[in-house]
Amino acid sequence: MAANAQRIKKDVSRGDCFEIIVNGRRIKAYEGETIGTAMMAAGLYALRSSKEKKEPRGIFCGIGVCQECRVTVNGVPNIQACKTLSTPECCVEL
Amino acid sequence: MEKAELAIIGGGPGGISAAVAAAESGVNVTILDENARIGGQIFRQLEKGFTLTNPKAMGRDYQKGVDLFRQFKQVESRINYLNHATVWGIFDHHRIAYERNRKSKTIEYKNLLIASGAYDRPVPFPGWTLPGVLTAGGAQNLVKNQRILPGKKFLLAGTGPLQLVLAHQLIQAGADIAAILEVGDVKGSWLKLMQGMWGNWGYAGDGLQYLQTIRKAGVPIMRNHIIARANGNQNVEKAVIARVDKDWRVIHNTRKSLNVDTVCLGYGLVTSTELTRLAQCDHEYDNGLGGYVPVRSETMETTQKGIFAVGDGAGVAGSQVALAEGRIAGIAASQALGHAPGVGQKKTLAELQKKLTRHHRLRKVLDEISRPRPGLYELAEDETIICRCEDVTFKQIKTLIQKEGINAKDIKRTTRVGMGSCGGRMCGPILIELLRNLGSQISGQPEGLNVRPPVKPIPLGVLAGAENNE
Amino acid sequence: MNETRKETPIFPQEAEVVIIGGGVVGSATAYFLAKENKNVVLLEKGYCAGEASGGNAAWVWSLTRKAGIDLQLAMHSISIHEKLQAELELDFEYRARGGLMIIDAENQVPFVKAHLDQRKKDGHPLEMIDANEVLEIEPMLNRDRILGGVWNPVDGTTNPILLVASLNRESEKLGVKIHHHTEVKGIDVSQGQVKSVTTDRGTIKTDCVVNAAGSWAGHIGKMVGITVPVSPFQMAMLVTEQVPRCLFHPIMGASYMVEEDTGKEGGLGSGLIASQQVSGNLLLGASWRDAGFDKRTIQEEIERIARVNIEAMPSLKDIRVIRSFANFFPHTPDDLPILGSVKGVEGFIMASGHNGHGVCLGPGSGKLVAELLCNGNTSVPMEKLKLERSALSVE
Repeated sequence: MAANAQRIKKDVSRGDCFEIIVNGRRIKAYEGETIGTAMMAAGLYALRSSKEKKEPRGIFCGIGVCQECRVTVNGVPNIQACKTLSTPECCVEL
Repeated sequence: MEKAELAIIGGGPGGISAAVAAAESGVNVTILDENARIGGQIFRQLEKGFTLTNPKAMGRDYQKGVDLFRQFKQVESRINYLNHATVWGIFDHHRIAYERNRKSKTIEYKNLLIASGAYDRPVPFPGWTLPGVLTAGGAQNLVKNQRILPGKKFLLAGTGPLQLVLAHQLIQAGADIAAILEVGDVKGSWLKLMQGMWGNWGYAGDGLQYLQTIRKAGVPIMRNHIIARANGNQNVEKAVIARVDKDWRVIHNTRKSLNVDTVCLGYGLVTSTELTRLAQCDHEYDNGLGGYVPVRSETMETTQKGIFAVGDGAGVAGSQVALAEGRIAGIAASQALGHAPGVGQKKTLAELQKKLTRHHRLRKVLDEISRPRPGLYELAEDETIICRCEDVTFKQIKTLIQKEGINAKDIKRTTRVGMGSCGGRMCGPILIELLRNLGSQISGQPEGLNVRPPVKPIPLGVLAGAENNE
Repeated sequence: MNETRKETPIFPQEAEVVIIGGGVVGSATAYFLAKENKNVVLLEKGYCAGEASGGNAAWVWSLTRKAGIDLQLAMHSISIHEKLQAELELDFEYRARGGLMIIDAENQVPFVKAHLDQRKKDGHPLEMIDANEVLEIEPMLNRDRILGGVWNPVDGTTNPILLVASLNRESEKLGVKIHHHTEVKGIDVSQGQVKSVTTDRGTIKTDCVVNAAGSWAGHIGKMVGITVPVSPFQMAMLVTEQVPRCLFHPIMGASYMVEEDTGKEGGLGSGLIASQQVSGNLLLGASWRDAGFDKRTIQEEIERIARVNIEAMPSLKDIRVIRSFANFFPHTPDDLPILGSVKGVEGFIMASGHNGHGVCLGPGSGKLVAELLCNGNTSVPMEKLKLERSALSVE
């Protein structure tokens, strides 16, 4: 059963919509969303492989403490997806 | 080098209320906040781009935050607020090193206030590292601030009233919750207790509403239940829950499987004490307060003269306590710096102390219910990951833990536990509890991991380009 | 921390040899003695490489060793590393794929040349290579700064904590009793002969004690009434996150060879010492200063080490440093270890003072001490290493 994150429509309106590129795939993002949120909404939950066992890891603590959500953004490695805002056309590599 | 009369680390309720109190007394205040805007976790403000169409949507917490923001705005011009500032070291001679916008800088302070907050307690069990297993705080951040439901079918597992707040928010956002597990040994008076707690927070009406929402949605609250395992391939697909005894140990033959895609772990918070430990403040251990807490005077001063600590980072006690402690410390620091107390501040100090005592008395009961029991750390099996960064399993450390005289630093050095990017924040609290429960012949408080700067990862190039006074 | 400690019922009452200090030197000594069927007790006040052996550059390095006894010890110990790699069950990540020294300032050249001349005369020549060759070996280096370098094919890196663990594991199989969290309180000497060692857990009758206590060697020496001129000097390093392999060999900056650049009295010395661990973390250094027994790192050290490494390898700029660490190394006035028996105290054997070279020299020292105690003949003559040597100014 695939996980099914979805944007909440109730009580909020969103700003600009643009695209970011994750492993070559174009996905939707809104102004104010972190890279982690945009990826979640696109069904991407496994952000990296663990060091020894190569098991899938994704967002865990959500506030920038656990360092599990590290991805490469515009060539810079080890960027935390949960606290880094999406920017139009930014390039994310998992 | 920059200078500050009072440097405050942390932009949550503790730090901000201290800043406001100090600024009111005429103190030159600098705030170093990791976030983009003040509010910390509990009063986190929406990112630019999101607009609330229903002001009540952020919940009661947020209203309290708005009050604080208003106070802050009144003295804003007297405060040097540095956002996106990550403190990476505290050094002798009253120096703080921080990174901001890819530059490393130094501040020399006269007095220092550390309000570094807390984070969700990591609890290891088979499958806890699967994508889809989140902390309650992380889930709450996603729902409240990023306006995204992280999954479709939820299991909430943990203890304490904050789970019910999360449940309410999830249900309002359209989530389907399979169950809320309360692992604590709560009796029928629990609901009354919750209401009393909420009443103390000023949420009396809301408390009832949360329970009503949960009941109306048909979500079962299962007391004395724990999550024992998460199963799935690339994501969570199933959760195994079980009944526990009063020590939170799984009772034989009570396991049940639930189909869920998201698990929210809400076992309370643990203190962020990297900075107070780096500053060489004395600490004592109390796992009812979130682990190590700095030893403090009545005015929130640590054992290091001129260094104060307030809020969840000095003992998990919630935002109301943080606000009161912050104000007390702000006033005390101002006095220590030779500033005359602001009008009405002396009276305020006594009132604040009273408020604090009341809060703590009420919290004690709830804290006791939710204080981790040994069973919480007996869920790990051989292959369960203990150190998430380095992929160290329970099997690799379980014999070591029982060695006489062993401590967390020994385990770190020989197994790599704690050597990862999170700086031991995830595995440190786990190791301490494992040593307490399974370790041999150690009475008193087990030592935790060491802390060495930089306490947060900082790019080498930033450290190299550090702007210094040398 | 309050700790309840009870007398372990199995604490040894006597031993043929008691070794004080469970770092690389002590652990290697225990292992080699055990192989000769000696009844050995190894005492360690912490746990398994808790001090210098547990936090260092992790190099097995002989490039900068001076011709003579210094180099002899290093070459001998390197051969012991190789032996151990074959003998010990647990892999300790020893990789000897060569070491590199880089020349990035004109003032370094004469010192490097002088060193190379010495080595050539001594029969252990080193290869000088040009800038292009340096960059081929280590592409991360700054092509704008490199003037040339020196290559030493026998050098490499290891994991000293695993080495100690591996040695201890074999030693225990061979009957060595290892007691951690055990502190030596006194050594009984009667009529110039060692009689016993007293610890916080009990007393061990023995007529032979090996002082492998590193920076605490002086403290142990006092227990038998002798002055051991070993003092701690603190060395700091940075650790980064794991990154895909980008450094392939240990890299040292030739500023290390220039006396003025290594830091004056009371100041902060620094020089490039960089490598990548098997785990993928970059281990970047280094700085050194006199800090007594304080293990805390200071801001100046951290920033200096970062600057030194960025100058040498600018493309490391985005790699995140996740911690720093510092340890104190046992410094001796002539940069040579103190090995061998001691005048006036029969049965007291020195095996300390390895300065910053304990990881490289430890296994060799262990073998030499074992040889000394078992048959008197040592693979490397130890005359120049005794405590009474003039360079140490101890009568």
